Amino acid sequence: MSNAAMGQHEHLDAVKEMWEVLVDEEDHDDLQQHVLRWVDNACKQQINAGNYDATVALSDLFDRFHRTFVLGENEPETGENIDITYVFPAQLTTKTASQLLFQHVIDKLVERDVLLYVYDKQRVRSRVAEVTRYFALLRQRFADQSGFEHAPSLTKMVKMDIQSREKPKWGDQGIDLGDKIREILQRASTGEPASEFGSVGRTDWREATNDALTLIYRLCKRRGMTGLAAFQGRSLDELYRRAVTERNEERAHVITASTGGGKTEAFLFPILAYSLTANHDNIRVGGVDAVLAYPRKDLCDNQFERIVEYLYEIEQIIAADDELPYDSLPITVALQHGSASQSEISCPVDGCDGGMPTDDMVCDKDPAHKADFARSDKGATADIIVVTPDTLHRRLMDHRGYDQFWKHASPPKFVVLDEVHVYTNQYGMHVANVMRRFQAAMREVDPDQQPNLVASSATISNAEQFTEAIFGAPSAREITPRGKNEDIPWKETSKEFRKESEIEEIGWEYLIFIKATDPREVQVPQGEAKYKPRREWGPEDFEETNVTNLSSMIQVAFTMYHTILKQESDEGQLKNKILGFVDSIDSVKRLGDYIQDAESGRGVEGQELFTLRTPDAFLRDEDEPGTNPDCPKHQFRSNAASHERAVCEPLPPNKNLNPCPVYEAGECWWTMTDELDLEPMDVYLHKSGRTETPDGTRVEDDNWDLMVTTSALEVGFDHPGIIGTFQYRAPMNIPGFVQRKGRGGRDPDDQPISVVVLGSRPEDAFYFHHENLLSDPDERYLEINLDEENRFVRTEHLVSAIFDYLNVTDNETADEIYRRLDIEELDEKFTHEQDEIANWLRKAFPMMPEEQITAVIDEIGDYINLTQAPLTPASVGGGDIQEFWEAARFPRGTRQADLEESLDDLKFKRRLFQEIAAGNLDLENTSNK
Amino acid sequence: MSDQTPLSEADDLTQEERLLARLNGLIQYQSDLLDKVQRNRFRPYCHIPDLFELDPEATRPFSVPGTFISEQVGGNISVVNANGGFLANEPLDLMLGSFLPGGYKRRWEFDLWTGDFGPSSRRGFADINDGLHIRTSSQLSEILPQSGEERYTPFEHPVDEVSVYIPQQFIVWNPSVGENGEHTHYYWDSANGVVRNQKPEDVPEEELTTLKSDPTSQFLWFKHPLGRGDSPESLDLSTMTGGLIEQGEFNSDATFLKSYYATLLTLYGEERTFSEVIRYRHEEDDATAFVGSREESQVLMFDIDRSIVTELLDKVFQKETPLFRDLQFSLLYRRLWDRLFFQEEALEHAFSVTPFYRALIAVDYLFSMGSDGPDSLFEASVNDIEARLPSLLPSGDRRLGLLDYDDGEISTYETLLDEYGDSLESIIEECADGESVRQFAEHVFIHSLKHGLASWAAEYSAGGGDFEAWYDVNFIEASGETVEIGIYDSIQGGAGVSREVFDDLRELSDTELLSGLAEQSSCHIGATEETLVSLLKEYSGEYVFDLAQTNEIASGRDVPEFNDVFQDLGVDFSYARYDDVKPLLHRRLNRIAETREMARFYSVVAETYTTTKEQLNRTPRPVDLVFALEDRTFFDTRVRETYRRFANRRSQRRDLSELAERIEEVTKQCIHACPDCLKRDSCTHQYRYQEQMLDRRLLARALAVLDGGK
Repeated sequence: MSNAAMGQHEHLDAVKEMWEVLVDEEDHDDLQQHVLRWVDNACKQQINAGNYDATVALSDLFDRFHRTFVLGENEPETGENIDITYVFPAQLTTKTASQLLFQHVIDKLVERDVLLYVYDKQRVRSRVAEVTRYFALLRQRFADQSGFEHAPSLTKMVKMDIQSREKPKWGDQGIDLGDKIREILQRASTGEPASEFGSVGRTDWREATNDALTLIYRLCKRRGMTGLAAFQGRSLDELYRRAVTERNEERAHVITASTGGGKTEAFLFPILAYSLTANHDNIRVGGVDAVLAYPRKDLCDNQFERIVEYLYEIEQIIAADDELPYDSLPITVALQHGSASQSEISCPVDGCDGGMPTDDMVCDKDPAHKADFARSDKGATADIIVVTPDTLHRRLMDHRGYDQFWKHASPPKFVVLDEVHVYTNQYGMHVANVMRRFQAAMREVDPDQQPNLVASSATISNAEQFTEAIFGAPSAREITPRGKNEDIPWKETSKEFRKESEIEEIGWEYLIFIKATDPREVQVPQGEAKYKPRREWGPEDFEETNVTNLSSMIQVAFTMYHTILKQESDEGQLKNKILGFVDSIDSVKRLGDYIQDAESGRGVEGQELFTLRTPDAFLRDEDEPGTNPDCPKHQFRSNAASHERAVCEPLPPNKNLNPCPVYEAGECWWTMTDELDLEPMDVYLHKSGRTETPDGTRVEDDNWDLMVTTSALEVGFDHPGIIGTFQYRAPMNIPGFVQRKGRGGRDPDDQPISVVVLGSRPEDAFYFHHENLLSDPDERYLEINLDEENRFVRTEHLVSAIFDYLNVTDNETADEIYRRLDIEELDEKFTHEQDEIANWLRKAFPMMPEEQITAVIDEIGDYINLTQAPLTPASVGGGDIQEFWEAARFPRGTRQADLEESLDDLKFKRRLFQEIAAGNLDLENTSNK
Repeated sequence: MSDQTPLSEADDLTQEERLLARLNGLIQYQSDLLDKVQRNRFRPYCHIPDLFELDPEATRPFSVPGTFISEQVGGNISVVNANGGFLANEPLDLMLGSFLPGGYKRRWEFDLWTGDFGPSSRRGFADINDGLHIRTSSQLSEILPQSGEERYTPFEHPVDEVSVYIPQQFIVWNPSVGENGEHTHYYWDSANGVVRNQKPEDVPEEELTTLKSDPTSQFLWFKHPLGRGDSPESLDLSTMTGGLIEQGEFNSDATFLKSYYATLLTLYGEERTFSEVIRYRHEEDDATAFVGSREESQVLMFDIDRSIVTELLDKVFQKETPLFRDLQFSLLYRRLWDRLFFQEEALEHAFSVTPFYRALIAVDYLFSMGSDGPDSLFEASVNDIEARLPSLLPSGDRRLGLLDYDDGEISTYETLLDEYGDSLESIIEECADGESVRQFAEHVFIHSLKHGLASWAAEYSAGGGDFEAWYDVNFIEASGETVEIGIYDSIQGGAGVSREVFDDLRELSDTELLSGLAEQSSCHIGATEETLVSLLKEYSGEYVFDLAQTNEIASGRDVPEFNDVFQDLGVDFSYARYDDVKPLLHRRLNRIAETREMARFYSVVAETYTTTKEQLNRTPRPVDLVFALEDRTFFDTRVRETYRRFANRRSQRRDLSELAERIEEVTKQCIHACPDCLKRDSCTHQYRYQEQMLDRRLLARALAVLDGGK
């Protein structure tokens, strides 16, 4: 049958048939993604050339489609192509089949709302380009009496960038966990058990490693994660095998991968496996297995929640399977920071949306849901401890740390510094020293046990060098997904294998840079004045308004929310959230309030501002009042076909056939049709440790659409619902911006949008015209510096290390000194154990010049003497001379009333002292008498 | 020390003072602790880190740190609510830079706060008495004993009328009203020259302007060294710097005064936006008040030999280059701020300074390109300038109209020239005077060197942190033979970083310091921009587009054409490395030549830029290019179409043109300095003319003279 003879029905059948085969072969998604990418790129080029009404002719697109998928020409961007001719039915010519299929792909994309037909339906525009068009044409609307034509523009220029999103290949494209585990077990079996397993028989040890990895396999299987990324496999091999076998070399590791690239699992699986091994019935090594340090409390909470979820699942696996060699979950976890017991995490039970306060770890929705294996009380010990470096510093010196870390035969095996790029400046210097002190204590407890020191980050280019510096390790090895033709210097691999990349492009992300107009005053004509020339306006004919950079940001924020595509994940998670970053608490509150005002219509004619742009012509019924005062609704309805509510319903108005000045001016947001688009946002504000609504109500829930925050949520805030981020004004630093944009699109299938609104400051102009520094920074901008040998900070830690020594070697006395300021005890210990202390310092800081150690010991010796000096001159103290340290300490059992009394006494002594100094009193003579 | 001997005498404090300081430390600690215990109900404690913290006899770094969040220079201060209650301990500098008179911020509990300040007996001065508990005060005449009038501020106060106050507590209040504190009233009280939050009874209604919101506030400050400690260590740096830096001196116990002297406000009235300046006064003391912090740190001071600087600059200016004219314009910009804005209030608001400056640049363009009249702005009289004003905006959509100017602005300038013509005339005369410009160039050089030293030290010390920096802004007036530049740790008391830099200076090879400084001036962004303009000028847009599409670009390999152009950039970029510039260049090129159309257009802009630069003998600004492109005939109709699209002469779709932004895509972002080279977050000239007081080219060329022109 000839093509001409084939009817419409046959064509439809053919398309259906072809599509089904493509779906079966899983090529349909790729096909759509390629076409969408072409459209996005073509639109981007036009937008960057100042044509904000970007369109792509379907005929051009089809040409490319035909060349790529039918003729097999290589894709210049990705170098890939898919041969689709295998789906063409024999009864169709190649051209017809490809035309039919192409049209179907376009229709699918339009159906998904990622593409829209424009003008004569022979052209298309991508959804993101349409949204960008709204940004470019944005005007400051606040009074609908004025008419949009006279409202001031808010945007000077817009640029768009599209960056590939890459992720390590996992799942089917990754490596098989089962194979990897077999490989690890085989290689491990040739080694000697690590020293802490010294007394365990070799068979028991092998059984324990086997059981532990099997359980990890079961965990991954339950979560559908048995296809690991290659670097995660390398990490499991390298870190776990090093942990359970005897090693001679001292080496730290650093795991690097893009945000959302699976870094946490890369170090967490080896830790869980080690912990399951060490707590196996056959072995039972006591003590902490891993210390996971995070730079912020919010992050600790976030990661604690993740570990609780994993442990809960392991607990479920063990409970459901009698064959497993574990009676119950053998691993515990503790959260340790200043307010650890006042946090809340999500309930780990599947399908439960309750919260779990960390003070009792019982679900607030269902008390049967408990996490008995997790704790947060101060000093709680556990197999895995999640902690801040500041807390670790104190734990090194105090009794809680002794109970947690040092009273067991085996010290912690893993020390992890996640988000390690944060540790720069003074903070980094402190952490580098804490790491050295912690390692010294570990060596004291068991000099033979080799620790596993692990760092991790998504935004560091000098990873190995930085890791060596922060841990004081002689060498460091980077574990990272390998790109095409890249080598893994430390790994023996065949050249053939080396050619293949471990990274895949999973899509792309959009970056939109908006240059706001300079601040200006604008006179907006009112009423009839709109039709008069400006020179004829009287004082009542116009309203004066200020257009500021903040005005642009406010309108961009709600434009973004109401017009971007909101999707649902396969698991039903709604992806509609936007996270906005500003650089001060002041700006968080102001911007949040203004956006909320714009969304609630407060002070703006009582109307939500986004509703001034609704496409009323097809959104509202004939007799229903609209909200867009300018929409030529009736005109567009009268010409509509019978099945349409308005001419502009199937596609935006054609500027030649049915021109709509409102749409053309950007005052009709044609894409704003879904239920969610048309609902005002719930705006939340966040600063470190606190989330609230604009009216000041503190909230812990997830019912927000847009959250404005500072750098507090810059790292580690992983929320699957975030599809867009924005940044107001030039960011403080480039790595921070990379982290911020990385908060959007945690699902590999997402195509997140990041909008950067730049204002009138010189730095804003700088970044607008050098936007590549933000969208695609080269390595130079991701180098993190650390002055780990800084002598000043080092000295503070040499002093602190004296108290570490006391804590680790004689905890009871140390406790009296540290908590009760028992200076006499300190004097005694210090005098008699000076050599041991000096040795301890030498071991903790081996590169330290001897004179600095001597100086610290001398200075502290002197200071101990100073603490024993009288608090006041004899004339003030009277007969009872109190030494300074006695006045400073609070003996056991001190209460608030005692503190009040002590304070009164000190104040009295000060007054007396001052009176004597002023010559008003002569108590000295009196007392001498 | 069981013999009960008192503390030994120290050099600077008596035994009694030391004992009292300890007592005060204990009392402060226990007071804060009591507050916390009352709020959170726990057993009182004092742990080892607390002991070191509270006891002034425990000297850092021989102590146990209580927290890793370091105290910034200037120290912390307690903040209390005027209505009762402790709010927080905050960095003093943050408080001064946010809450001095006219400052409003959302902060604790996200509420709105402002300092508790009212008007004083002098108009334009707020009384600081209620808002601050003062720790120490001293008369400015004690700090600047040699001066009759201070030269730190544009107001040049007599020193005996000023006192300097260091606060120990800040008192703030929440001016919001309504049941939930949902709104706040703002009035500008022109009778007293302060912002009010409620209508005062003693001020006539006509003196009050209702404001739509809180003002935008910028706080102006300067730094002055107060003390150097007793035992400095010095190092001769003369040999390794060709005599430019005579010596480096390390001092572990230095103190700088960071003194705030005025708040620059942008006020949003119902009918107009305007700027005002509020200064400070201590009513009880009957003194003008400077409010500040004592920044105690470890400082590395450099003595710069002014005679060498003069020699170097003479050599730099031997060749006539656009740099000299650029400096004339920088000086003009500074004077517009100091004289026409601050001193004479001829410019109504802060954000009208730059548009006026830009209009004067446009006038210079017209003079330079015109066949009659003066050849440049600096040869013109005020009458000449006034005569040119109408040509700047021949119609609403031409010339300055493309930069969003309107008739109102031009008529404002006409009025300004009528009323302040003499002032502008004398400013122009100063800018035209070679000696004044050289003196200004010396100031710019020293300021640039200060920033260069601070960023070199930050890079060299590898800690990732920034240094605070200081130089004597009055060194020209002081007429000394040397000028000092100091860099110091940003942590109160110092953090050993400048110490390390000082120690390492001994180890540096002869050329390392100079080349390190020269690297700071060889900006990678500047080099990228310069290379790009040269490429676009050198080759046709079509060719550049084709180059941008090559595999070399995609794979990051060298493109010979690019390398050649880069190698010809000259002395300004002698320390820039092509390997560092290459990725930036490739990325820029991808954007500029994303399409043939863009490559063609930007190639024309680059060509116009180059010819305009030659004609003007200075760096063209976007406004010059807007004028030049209007004057140009586009033979390529495609380029003309692109130009017309960007010029978008006020259509119904948008009421503005993006031509200037487009031009800025290829003209320089880094003319004087940028965030990638000499610009810094904290600079005494920020908010006004930091960029114009820096010049990486001046620094690079002067250092190149020393370096034999590497």
